[in-house]
Amino acid sequence: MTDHILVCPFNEKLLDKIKHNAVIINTRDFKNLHHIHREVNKSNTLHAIKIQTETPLAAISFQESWIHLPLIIYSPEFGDYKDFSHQLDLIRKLNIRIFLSSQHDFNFTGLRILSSLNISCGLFFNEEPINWDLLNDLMHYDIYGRTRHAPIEPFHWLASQYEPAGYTDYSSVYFNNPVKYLHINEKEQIALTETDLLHNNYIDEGVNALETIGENKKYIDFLNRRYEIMLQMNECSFCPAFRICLAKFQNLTDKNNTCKIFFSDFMDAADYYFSKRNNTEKNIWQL
Amino acid sequence: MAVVIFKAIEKCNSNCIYCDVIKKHRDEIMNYDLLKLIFIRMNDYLMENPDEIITFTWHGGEVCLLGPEYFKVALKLQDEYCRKTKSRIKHLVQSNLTLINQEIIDVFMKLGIRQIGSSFEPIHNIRGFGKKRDSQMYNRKFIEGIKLLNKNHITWGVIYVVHRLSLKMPLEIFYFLTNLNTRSHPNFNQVKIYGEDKNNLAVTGEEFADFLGAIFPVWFKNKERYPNVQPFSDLLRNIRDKDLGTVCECSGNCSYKWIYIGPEGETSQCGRAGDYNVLSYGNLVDNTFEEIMKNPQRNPLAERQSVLPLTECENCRFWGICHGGCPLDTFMTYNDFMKKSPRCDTTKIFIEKYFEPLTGLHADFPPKLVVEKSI
Repeated sequence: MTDHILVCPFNEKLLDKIKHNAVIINTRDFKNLHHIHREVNKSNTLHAIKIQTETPLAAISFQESWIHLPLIIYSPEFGDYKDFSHQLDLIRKLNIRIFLSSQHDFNFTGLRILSSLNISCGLFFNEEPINWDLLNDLMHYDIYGRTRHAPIEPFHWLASQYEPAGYTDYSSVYFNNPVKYLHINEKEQIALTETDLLHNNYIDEGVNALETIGENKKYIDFLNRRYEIMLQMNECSFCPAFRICLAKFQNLTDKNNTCKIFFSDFMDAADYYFSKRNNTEKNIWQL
Repeated sequence: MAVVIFKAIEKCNSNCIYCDVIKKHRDEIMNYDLLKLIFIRMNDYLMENPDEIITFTWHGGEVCLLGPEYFKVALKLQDEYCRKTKSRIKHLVQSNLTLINQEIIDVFMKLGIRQIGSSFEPIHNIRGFGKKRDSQMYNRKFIEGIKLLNKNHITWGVIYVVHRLSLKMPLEIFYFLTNLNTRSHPNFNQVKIYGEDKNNLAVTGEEFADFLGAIFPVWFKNKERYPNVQPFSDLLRNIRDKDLGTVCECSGNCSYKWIYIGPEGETSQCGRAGDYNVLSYGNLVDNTFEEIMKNPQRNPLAERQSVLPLTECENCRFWGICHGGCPLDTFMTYNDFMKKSPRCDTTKIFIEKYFEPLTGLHADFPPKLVVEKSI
């Protein structure tokens, strides 16, 4: 058993080997959700089911019976609002977070709609160029918006976890922070992130290795990777927002008009949220 | 509190461009007999002064060149000769961290060391190994060192020495250093060059003030992100909170509480005095701590606090902040203790041009009375 939450496919043989662990199940199959929920909870704690789909959000057929399932849906796009609106009442009852891709500009509007309808949601980043202005607008809406709305990730997570004099890694939102999450496949190959698992970049093999993962050199190196970036002395190491971005966009060629501005604004927003969080409201006597 | 700047070794594995200690080319390491004598002397001093504590700063050279065994011996000597007083000896370390290892850290921890002071330089070939000052290798070793400190939960911080090449990139340097360590922030010091400036590194007081001035608005707006950046934090505390306790060189009360001890037991006022062979207080073999603390050569340092308010610093509203500045710095420049520090312009320019307009605070601490009386 490990303290990490394990992100893995639904495989009963594997689940049997990682008994008593908290798990996040990766699936693409909407039909199997109940079975996953039931089987996983027999010997593990189901943290969430992550469903990666190519279906637009509005085209997904949401089910009343999903109400008690902890779900995360990764969908490429919002889809047709009319189709979505028919299911709105049901979606609002679900224990769900909906993530849309940064690939399409209209998803930024989609996320704002979801949030304003009190549906927790977030953006996942694709390799395609990101519209930094739209990203900044969405972040401003989430952090500074005064109308009631549901959290939008990764903004809300980062703002709520942010410590001004520390590093805050929002990779946790995507289960890619190995301090908390590890990825493992049917062959018991262990990776630090989802991308690493996809690219066969494993740090160890066999569930027994999980118990001593804290001593694994690749694991330790990953936790210390910020120092490697500092040693490179590239633009990221001199960036004012390094402590919240941790060089996630270091391959971008033009940082001045993109990530640097966004993350600097994001850090200001996190400071604002932090001060709000720590300014305890004055308690006056009650009627 | 008495402060001992202890240089058991003045040799260093690095060849930092602005370092004056390595230019002395001293290879001696203090022998164990002398080391034992230090602990005997400290014990005597602490027994005679039951309310006193000693901050014992391991300095160099590079202290890690001493190796773990040396520190183990020091620990043993402390246990043996300072049985009743060892709780009043606080060890600190200044190291470049490029040679630190687990064995050294283990004994540091036994000595009660939980934080280490260091230095770092993101500009290449300023700090580094060998004639060419290989900064890449140096930086890698430094990073390995801080990883090890982090693993052992030992905190660390850096001094950044501002030189001519730094002037082009104040904010970049500030961001780099605060990215490197988000919890313990840098202390910016002006490079000190006495005599010939072979590498064209010296900066004027105004240039240093402008360097600080470029960083100050960012720091002031985001103090929560960057706690304890010096000299900003101290200045803000000085002026806003009227809390005038500050670093040694601005305290005006360093005269009788500091001791430098060199590799052969030679003593002096402080690290700076030891580096430049100014104010020799004799050898530890022939003198007790009490005698060294009361050496009459210290008197001018105290008298300076009465003289300057009547002369160069008369009516100066910054007096309470700097107290005339470092007497050693003054002596090295003017060969006279009774003058104000050559760094005076930095303090004035920075406060008047950057600090006061931005903060809306006003420094008003003219001399009122003599702070420290000579013995």
